Amino acid sequence: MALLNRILYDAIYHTTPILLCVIGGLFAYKAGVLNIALEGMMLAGSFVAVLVAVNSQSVWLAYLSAIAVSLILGLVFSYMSVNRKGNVIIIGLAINMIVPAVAGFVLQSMGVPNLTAKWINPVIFRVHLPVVERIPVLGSLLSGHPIGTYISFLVIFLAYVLLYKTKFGIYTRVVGESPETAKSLGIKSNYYATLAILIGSLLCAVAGVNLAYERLGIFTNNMTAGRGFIAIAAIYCGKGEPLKSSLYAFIFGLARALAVNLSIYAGNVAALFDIIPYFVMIAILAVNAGYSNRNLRMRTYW
Amino acid sequence: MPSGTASFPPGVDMETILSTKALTKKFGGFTANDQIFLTVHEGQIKAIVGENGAGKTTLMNMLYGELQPTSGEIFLRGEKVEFSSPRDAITKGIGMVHQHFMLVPSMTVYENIVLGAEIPGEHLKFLIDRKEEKRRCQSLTEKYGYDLDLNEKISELSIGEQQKVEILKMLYRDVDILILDEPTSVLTPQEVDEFLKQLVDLKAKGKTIILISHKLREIMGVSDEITVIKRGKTIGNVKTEETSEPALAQMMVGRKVLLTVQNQYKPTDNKRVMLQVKNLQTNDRLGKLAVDHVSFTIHSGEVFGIVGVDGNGQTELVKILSGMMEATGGTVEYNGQEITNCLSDQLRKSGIGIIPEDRYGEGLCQEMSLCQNAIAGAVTSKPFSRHAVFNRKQINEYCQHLIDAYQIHIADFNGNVSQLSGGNAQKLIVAREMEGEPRLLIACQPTRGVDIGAIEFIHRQIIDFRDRGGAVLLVSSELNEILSLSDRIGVMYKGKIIGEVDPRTTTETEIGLLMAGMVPDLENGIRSI
Ligand SMILES: Nc1ncnc2c1ncn2[C@@H]1O[C@H](COP(=O)(O)OP(=O)(O)O)[C@@H](O)[C@H]1O
Ligand SMILES: [Mg+2]
Repeated sequence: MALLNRILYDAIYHTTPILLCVIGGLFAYKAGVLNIALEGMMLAGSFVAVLVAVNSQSVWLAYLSAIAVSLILGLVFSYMSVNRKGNVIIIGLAINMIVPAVAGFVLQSMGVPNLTAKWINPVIFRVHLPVVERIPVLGSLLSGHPIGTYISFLVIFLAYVLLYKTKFGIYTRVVGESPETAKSLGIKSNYYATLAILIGSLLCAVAGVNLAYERLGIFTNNMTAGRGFIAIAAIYCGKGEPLKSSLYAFIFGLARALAVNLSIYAGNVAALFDIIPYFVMIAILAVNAGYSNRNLRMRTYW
Repeated sequence: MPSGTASFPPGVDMETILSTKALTKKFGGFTANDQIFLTVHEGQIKAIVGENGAGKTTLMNMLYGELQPTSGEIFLRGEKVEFSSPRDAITKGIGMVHQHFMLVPSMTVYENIVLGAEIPGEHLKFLIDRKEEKRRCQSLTEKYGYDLDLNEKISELSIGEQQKVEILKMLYRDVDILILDEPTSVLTPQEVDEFLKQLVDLKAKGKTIILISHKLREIMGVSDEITVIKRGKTIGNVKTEETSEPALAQMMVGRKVLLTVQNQYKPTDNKRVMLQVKNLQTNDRLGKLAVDHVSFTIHSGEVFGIVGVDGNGQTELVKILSGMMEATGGTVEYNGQEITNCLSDQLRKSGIGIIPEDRYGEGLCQEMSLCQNAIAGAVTSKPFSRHAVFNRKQINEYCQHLIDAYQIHIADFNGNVSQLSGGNAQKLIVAREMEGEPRLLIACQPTRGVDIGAIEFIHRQIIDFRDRGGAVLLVSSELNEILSLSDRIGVMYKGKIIGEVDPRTTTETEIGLLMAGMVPDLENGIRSI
């Protein structure tokens, strides 16, 4: 029972950064832009948050500067891809490679293997929900997570309203699904695509902050460990719909929680459990792709 | 000299609502519209005709603000206007329904109608007021007598219904001038009739309509005035009552054309079964039968026509027969030999010629040269290559032979296929397939998007091939084409061949009803399936 509880608590905990990336990234997905720079933007959020925290000792300055830097990356990405019509894969790759390179350089020149904001006690970010906390099993599951976790679940709902109930959301979907229609009605495609990408940057920054700063107060290079790509997989599996994609994000979070918790019992083969999230990802994508074409007997010649 | 105004005698009182003066549009060095003078009178239906590529769509896109003229002027109610986007045109009362629909498939009918002009909520301004949107759309459909479910998704609608949504979209914006770019090319004959009635209705309600088409019969039926465009120039401006179909065709092409091919139905004796299809089936993406137990037989010296509204399984049927898709059941026999699910390479070798529906997707490679395309499908055979090396001289000679024999108009012999107009690209495919000396020809939409001159030529080729004893499977959504070329006609509806008719005795009405899924029933009149 205690183990199960732990696994579920961890599942929520591990879902948070992925979920934030998913919700952020699905706007660009809906606007028809493949944003593979989620990973880089998240890592930038982690790095800048801890770096600023170490140097300024200010909680909020850390938060804000992480967001600012990620937004700048988002602007670079959208300018290059949307305005200049560059290849999104190349631009995204560039961002994903530049961020760890810069972080690595800074770490090296500071002569440290990783950054630690020693004055931070992650406990200060924990939110204790007043009433919920008292509920027997559920209370310990739902209460005591970092702020980012609550933001991430709130954001699912906000994304839904934004996408389906507002002009912004409708236009964003039109731009992605039927760009010619957008053009014929005078909807400014570039404007909506850019905004969609920037929402992604914003939430990726929050994800990065959650990952490094809120949880541990530590930054190690490449600590995002492919979560941005897992988020892309979740977005694709859920076809960019907030609820569905979030569900996939949770499946990945759960897989990660299983890997971490079961490895306690597994001794040397512990490392194998870490494969679970990736295995789940490949399986879901493969099944999804196979499933949507299961009826069609179209020939393809390679 | 604006020939438009000149052709109307003075004293006839007609308000000019829209006109252009020397309107010109260049794409790079290519002049798509060359000094166009157009005059549209208020409350009338103005038809614009011209062959494919004549520049009709380009002209309309300028009137609708989607393209900006290189030079020239547009006048609306006597006032010079400049549109920087469709939004400007719509505000001034000009709306356009494009040749390719501009609808968002995953959104509902009413969402599409109000798209771009959403109504903000009363209290929360950033949320949209769906109730009010629906209410306004409801009253709009009632006013114009359109029968549509506002909550249905566009992807669930038939093409005819989608078109209504497009028109409602413009009426919602309360435009006075409605531009329709080739609106009838995707409709069944019945839908076309209904559509044309709606146009007359709209005109009665005071709208001015600009109708683009290359279907002369429709134009003759509803329009008040006709402007003919050829190679980007206005070459004629006539009142409908003062002209005729042959006269218009002659203006469009610049010479006399035969609108229907001369076709003698010759009964060939001792006919041989060339293609026998039995209970053929395959699924679509959703697992529904796209081709549903289709059976038919084609003999040598015979054209079997399959007609139907697009999307009723004809595409899939042809894909199976040409080896691009697999059948899940049934058999295909060619000349006594089973060829079910053979690869297209094997089919070609056994003597089947294929003119595919998607000219540039499956028929030609636009980025390759004429010669390379001319030998596609035969690259490894003897005269063209030996020991895996091409014989350039042979290939060039062969390509030149095709160009001469099939009157393909080219600009540069060494250039790519992308230089060819639609008609000439299609002729290249016909030439290649015919020269392979097939015994069975599968032709799918062979004249879609092809100019009248080339249509005449391709039809002649098909009839000559049949007269030489070839068997032809002709799939087309052009009723005229099917009627004038076929010896027998099968009508496809929802994946099935729901009726076979004889072109010599059938009527357009009968076929039209079958295309809409109505089977004539001897006892009860018509029954819908
Ligand atoms: N955006 C464009 N760029 C270059 N050429 C174009 C463009 N749009 C149209 N054209 C060319 O202009 C000519 C006229 O096209 P269009 O107006 O679509 O003809 P129509 O509608 O009469 O069939 C064609 O030869 C076409 O290839
Ligand atoms: Mg056109």
